[in-house]
Amino acid sequence: MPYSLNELYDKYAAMLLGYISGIVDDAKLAEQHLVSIYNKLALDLSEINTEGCNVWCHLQKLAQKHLSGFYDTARANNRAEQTDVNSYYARNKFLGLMSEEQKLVFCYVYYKGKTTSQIAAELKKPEESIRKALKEAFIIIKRGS
Amino acid sequence: MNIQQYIESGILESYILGSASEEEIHELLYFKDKYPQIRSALYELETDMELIAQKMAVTPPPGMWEKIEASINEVAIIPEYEPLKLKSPKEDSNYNDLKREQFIEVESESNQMRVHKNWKWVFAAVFVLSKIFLICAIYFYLENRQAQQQIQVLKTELKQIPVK
Repeated sequence: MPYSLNELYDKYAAMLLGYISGIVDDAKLAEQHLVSIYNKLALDLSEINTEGCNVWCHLQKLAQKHLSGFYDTARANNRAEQTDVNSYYARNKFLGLMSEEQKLVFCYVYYKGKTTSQIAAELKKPEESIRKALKEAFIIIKRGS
Repeated sequence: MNIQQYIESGILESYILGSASEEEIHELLYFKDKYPQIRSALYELETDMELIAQKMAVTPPPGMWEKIEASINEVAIIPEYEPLKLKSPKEDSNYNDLKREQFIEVESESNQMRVHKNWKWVFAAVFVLSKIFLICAIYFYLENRQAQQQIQVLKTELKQIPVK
């Protein structure tokens, strides 16, 4: 069933705001990003209404793409990556259930939009182990929720 | 191919979160169509992702939808662009030089006359009246000719009558 923008707001705005808030850690800024993302969404509703497309995953990728500038700014400001990741711990209760590696990989992928190959290169670990840690992080969240 | 091993590798999670490479995405989409196990694992993972996001949801403040609507409407209004100003050939000295060299001067004044629309009724009336006048003229001309002929006949008859 195709979604209207209003329906997408009713169903997913809270989830999207939760996701954005996890990244930007500023309520006002997160709300501004939410408005911008729905503006972009209004321009191309057909893509999200494609058959076989999971709406939430699509929205999350859209938000990730929209916030890529935010990641770049954070990097440009020379903020230490580790400090950034630590700031996510307070915002996500599931992170407390994970090992250090799982936390790091999950935060890098979920909040920072990094690819597994980038993380593997940064942490100097094989990509397979990064993917495994990501999978384990997901299992922990699923069990914990 | 060991499908279970592929699912366990964590590549599905990478794909869902948009962290997979182009090559991995193509490979996964191919396997998704080919193997129902991978398709169902992907579907399950997408559902999990939605559940995770629901757990971390933050309710937007009241009036947020109105703000989004207003913002969309603002974007939808097409800005009024200033008309493009074309450089007049008079201003361009190079153009004038080029014109003199390559083109013959032609009188561009129009020979046509512009008349207001209301005049068409006047022209129509004049046309109709002229036709009526023409018909009348022909009619009286023929009447006159007939009368002349009758007079001529009467004159001839009168001459033929013997004077007593």
